Amino acid sequence: MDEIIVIALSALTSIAILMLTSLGLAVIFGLMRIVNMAHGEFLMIGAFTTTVAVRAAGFPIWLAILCAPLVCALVGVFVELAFIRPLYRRRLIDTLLVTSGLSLILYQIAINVFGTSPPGIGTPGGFVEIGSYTVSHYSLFLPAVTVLITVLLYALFKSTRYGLLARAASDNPDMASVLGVEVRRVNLSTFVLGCALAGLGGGLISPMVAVSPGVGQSYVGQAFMTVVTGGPAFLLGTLSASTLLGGIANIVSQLFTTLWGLTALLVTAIVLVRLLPGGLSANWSRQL
Amino acid sequence: MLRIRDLRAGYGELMVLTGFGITLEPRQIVAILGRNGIGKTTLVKTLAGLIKTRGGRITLEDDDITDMSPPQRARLGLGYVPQGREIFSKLTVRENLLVGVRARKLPLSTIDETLETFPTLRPKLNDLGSSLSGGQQQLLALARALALRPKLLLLDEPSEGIQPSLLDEIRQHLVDARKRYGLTILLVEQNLDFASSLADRAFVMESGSNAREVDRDKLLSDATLLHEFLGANGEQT
Repeated sequence: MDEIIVIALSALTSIAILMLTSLGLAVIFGLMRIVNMAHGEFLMIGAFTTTVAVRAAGFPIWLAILCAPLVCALVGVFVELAFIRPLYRRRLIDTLLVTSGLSLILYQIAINVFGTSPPGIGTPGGFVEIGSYTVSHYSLFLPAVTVLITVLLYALFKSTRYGLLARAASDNPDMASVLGVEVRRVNLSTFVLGCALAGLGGGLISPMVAVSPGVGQSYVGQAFMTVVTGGPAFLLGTLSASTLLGGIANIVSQLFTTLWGLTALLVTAIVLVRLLPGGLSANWSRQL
Repeated sequence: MLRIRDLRAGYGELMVLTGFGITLEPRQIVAILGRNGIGKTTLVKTLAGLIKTRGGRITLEDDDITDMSPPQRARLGLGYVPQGREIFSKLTVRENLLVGVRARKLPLSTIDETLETFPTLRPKLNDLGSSLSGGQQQLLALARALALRPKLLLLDEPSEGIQPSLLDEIRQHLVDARKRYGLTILLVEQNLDFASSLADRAFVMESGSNAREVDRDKLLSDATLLHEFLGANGEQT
């Protein structure tokens, strides 16, 4: 019984991590149709911001985690204005190429600044004993904070002025603009929000992973699969896909090995996309 | 109200409007007729700011709007109901109505006032825009534009694919809006019945630079005029 509880909690943590590392990508791709190949580097910037804030500046870890989205938002403003804005309404491949280049640059900068294996930070909080097993408080905190972030995002997009205008600008930018929506400003906000979410994801996972320049790249593939599998409802679709893919990957990993877990994730994503080409949420009436 | 002088616009290398001009007086309903491809939709899209002006001048009341963005034009009172309705398919009917209201920070009571005028939309408020019929979408597009109390409304073929009974309703909404708050309307149409029953003045767009004023009452009776300017599409519907 203890083992089942521990496996279930571990699966919940995996689902939370997959959701946290996918949310920024889901917002940017879901609302702007931009494939941000530099998403992993925003995760990495968030993770490094947190570790540097803790180790070099002595910030409490919770404050350090909150710094991560702020730093990524600032980088996001620069990236949107300098690289993304000129590419709106152009081919998907153009944004793909530009963000891939950006990804390489940010990765190399991180190597030059931090080296390939910089010191990390410890997991905050204590542990809880479940039978003969111990589970960290932080791994229980992650699913809770993921639910909170998802609920807040849902409220943001469903109930605020920005959320309505962002969805309208995504649905039909021309019509939104003739109704008075400053589409450029809304797009900037959406891109920055996506970057901030990636940063927050990186910050939140930083105590649980080895933070290195490649940390984002190790999550970005799964994040892409999750967002694509989730379909057009970029929030609830991504949550569903995270639950399914993260749950399966974690359980298979625990029963066999991590390699088999990742293989199961990939196979599940392929089968789902094959059966539901539009993604899990293709036929949902909810579009968030 | 609206003064267009020597307007030039097009797509890429193709120039569609090559010096077009027309003037609308306040509270007037002016119909622009013409065969397919002559540039009617290009004209209204250029006036709405969706196609960049490459020459000429557009003045709305005392404001030169030639180089203004679509949101700036909207703030000055320019409304637009596009061909094909362009409803936000992923938003509900209420959200469709709210977009312009919230973008321009108008009071939310505007929505209730609009729904009093368009009561048939009220039961559909929580339905997605994509779930509405063509006629309902046209009403929503009109309500969405009128909710913002525009001074000038650009209407691009509102009768397209709409059943006659609904056309009467649309006509009545436009007449009421003019009566209630002095709306000026530029109507681009191929349906001569609809255009002649609504417009104070009618022009036949002969090219990208020329629109000839015609007697509104003659539109439905002059077969030569129909054939000459409207071709097969000028057949009454």
